[in-house]
Amino acid sequence: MLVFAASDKGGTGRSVTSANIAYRRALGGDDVCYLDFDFGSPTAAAVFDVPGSLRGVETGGLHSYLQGTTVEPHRVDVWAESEHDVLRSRPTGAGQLVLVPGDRSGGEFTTNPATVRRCAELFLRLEEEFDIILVDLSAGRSYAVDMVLEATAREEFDALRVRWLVFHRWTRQHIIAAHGLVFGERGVVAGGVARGHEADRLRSAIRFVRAAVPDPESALFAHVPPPQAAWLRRCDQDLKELAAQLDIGVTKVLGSVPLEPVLQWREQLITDEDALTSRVANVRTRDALKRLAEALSGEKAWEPL
Amino acid sequence: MRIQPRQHMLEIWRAVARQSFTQGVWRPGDTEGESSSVEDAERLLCLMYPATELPAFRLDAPDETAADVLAALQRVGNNIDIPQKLIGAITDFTRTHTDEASVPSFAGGRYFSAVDPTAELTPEQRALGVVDSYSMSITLSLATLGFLKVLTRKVHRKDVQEMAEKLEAATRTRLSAAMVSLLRSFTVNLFDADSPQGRAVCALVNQDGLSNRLVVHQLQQRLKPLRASIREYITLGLNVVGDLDNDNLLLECGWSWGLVQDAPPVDTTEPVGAQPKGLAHQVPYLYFTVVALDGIADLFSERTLTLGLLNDEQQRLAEALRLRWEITQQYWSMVARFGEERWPLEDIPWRATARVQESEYFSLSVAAILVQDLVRRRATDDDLTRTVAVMEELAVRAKITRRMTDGDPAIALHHPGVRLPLLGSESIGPPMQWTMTDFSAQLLKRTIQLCALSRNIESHDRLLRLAEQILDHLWKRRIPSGPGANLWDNIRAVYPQSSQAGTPLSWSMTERTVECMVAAAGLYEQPPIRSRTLNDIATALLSEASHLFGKEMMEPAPALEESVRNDLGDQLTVAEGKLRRARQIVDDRPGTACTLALQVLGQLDEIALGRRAASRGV
Repeated sequence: MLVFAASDKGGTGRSVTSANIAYRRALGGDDVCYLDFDFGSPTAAAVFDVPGSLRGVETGGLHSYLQGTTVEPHRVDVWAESEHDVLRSRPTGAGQLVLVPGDRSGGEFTTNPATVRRCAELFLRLEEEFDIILVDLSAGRSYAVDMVLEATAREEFDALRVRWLVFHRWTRQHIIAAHGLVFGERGVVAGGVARGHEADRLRSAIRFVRAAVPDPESALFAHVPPPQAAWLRRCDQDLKELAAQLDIGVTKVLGSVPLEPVLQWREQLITDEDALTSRVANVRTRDALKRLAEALSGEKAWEPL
Repeated sequence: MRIQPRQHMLEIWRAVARQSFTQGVWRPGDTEGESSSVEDAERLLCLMYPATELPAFRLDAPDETAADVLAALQRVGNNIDIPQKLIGAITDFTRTHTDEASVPSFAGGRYFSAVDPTAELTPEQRALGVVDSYSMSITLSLATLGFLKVLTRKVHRKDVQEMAEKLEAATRTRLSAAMVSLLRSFTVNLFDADSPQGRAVCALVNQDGLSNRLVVHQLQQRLKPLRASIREYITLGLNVVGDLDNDNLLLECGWSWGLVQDAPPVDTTEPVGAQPKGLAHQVPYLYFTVVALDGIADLFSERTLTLGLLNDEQQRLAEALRLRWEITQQYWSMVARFGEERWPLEDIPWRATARVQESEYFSLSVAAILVQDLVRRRATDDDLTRTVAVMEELAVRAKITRRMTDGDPAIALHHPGVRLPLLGSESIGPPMQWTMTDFSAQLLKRTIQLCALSRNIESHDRLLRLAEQILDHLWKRRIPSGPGANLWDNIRAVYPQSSQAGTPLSWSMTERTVECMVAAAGLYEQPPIRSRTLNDIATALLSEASHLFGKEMMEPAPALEESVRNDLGDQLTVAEGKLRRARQIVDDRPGTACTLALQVLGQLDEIALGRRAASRGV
């Protein structure tokens, strides 16, 4: 399965959440490959704590591959190279977890038919090797988005399961932005259709992920003064209505991740140890990430009504 | 018990979900053998009615279902399952109550009973339609149509879409059939002033002790405009026996219990199928009239209009029904308030004139029509206040707000209930009767409706207290455990002497209580009633507070720098904000404005006291 992680704005927790999804799927036994297409600011390596590629690799990363200067992009086996205590040894039953980083001096670049072809070939090659290929796209309507839309419009992709996750934070601006990114005039759907995608099919392959959602009922807000509580609830309700109006209501949502102090301060994986042993992270967050990872392949979430 | 519609409603829904769904699957009615279209409709309305009437409880927009509602219905499924399960349940209902020739059926079924307890009703009798079912089908069909209309905007799945389309077509037919049947159940009864019935009517309305001749004359005068409207406009499905032009005849209008004898078929292009011959005598029943009026009102509710739920032909039928609705309300409201001193309605219990029968239930029915008529006419508070006393009296007589004595005859009102002989049913079997056991719930519903209408603090408060007492009583009557737990009706909880065996689940009581809660939600939509006295006080307080505040501001301003700033400046800023807020709301919420002004006065006085103490020093 090919999964694209997109967002309109930065700071939506796209990279950190999709890295967590990748981690959870790998733990569950899937062979997972994580492609860092966030060409502007690669962060995945930091989340997985692989020091050699913290700001991307020196040479032979995704940029070099797409521009044709290397035949095969560099791969990082997270289980082997991570400095993270928990990640350092592959747990029993876990599948592969491979990171394909960008180049350190990369950045955005223009695309041409040749890069699109290389991109498509890479996806098809990885698809044979892995169960889940998670592609972390840079924020906004970037060249990367255009490139993957064009690549996946090829007929070789017709038989593949391709899915899109659009991340947004739980604020008015983020909701509007996420709606714009997908349904806007220059949005993913319009862009996809222009490149030969079928509108309905593409639309039904897109789900939203709400990140850093403050849940007024959670323990975090148990002791706020009554006016604040009333304000929070009303805002939450207004946002729900806004999301429903913009057609990104709960039926279009794959999952939501609660506001998590650990993720606010550090972009990292939430391991079971964090939630259960050291208890620096909330169990609710861990559960939300688990559910999100499961929903990725659950059919129910993708064709509800 | 305070009336909290949202919390009460959630509790009822939780119980309904437990009762009606087994592991997420709709359970068909678990009555032994015989079903009743009325009962099945009641069961569905327990969910569908609040879902359509209360925005907080809507289920047609899975994106917007509230979290507490989802928690209450978790036995049904999640926000996406619930609408699909509902479509399934209503489809089930429509299929069950459609006969082999695809004609919708409105059978009273097991709700009919034989007057003679040893007699057995024939299957043909059980299959007879009844006004309760017609009326409830209108409400349920409109709820369903609106539900589907909103839901299908968001449905992409083919199978769900197909199910919804099929259900919509079936519901539309059922709606038309119900409307046609209601038209054919309406009746106008003409009788001579000297007939036994004529004399009974005169005795009923003659509360002032006038001569019979004068009463007849007054009645005839008041009936003139009604008679004219009936003659001019009402033709569809109505056959009047007797001479409508004869001004000497008195008349009565309203709904009989089912299709009326000799009611002509209604010409319509809607596919309602064969229209069966009627049996019911041409006698309006108060109970069925109220039931019909309630259902018809939904046909021209704001929701029906804005969602455009009726097609052209249905609008024509609805128009014809509306005319009957208006005339019937006018008629009964006129009779209820006849005379100059005491209203006939205040002479409790009301006597049904066609059959010699009297009951508090009929008083309640007349009061119900009167309440609706008050809404329609935007009546003064004067008429309303008189009705308040009637409601209180009914609650006392039914022993809802008083203790039941040993062998109290009032028990019969609740159990076994008031029985209406269904005249005309004897032509195809043993005479049938209809039983009403929902007095308490009906009384609560009308009290709440009246309360929402009242803009007079005293009557509003009396009604609210009465409503709370009735709710207390009703809440106690919930089944404590076992099948139907937390639903109705456990009469023994309030009337231990009752002869009721076990605690049978009554969907009609449950549905009526749901209606009460929906009506109660309307209570809090309006702004609180304004009190002139409070408003005067608030204005005076505000004036004093503003003045003192202005004076305080003439004092040297406290320093602005952070390091030397003290709380005085903050305090004044807060006071200013409170005054501004108080001014804003003084008209709508004078009580709150008072409190704000008082707080400011207190704060200002503390400061003033400090200053005074200082000036007394050396």
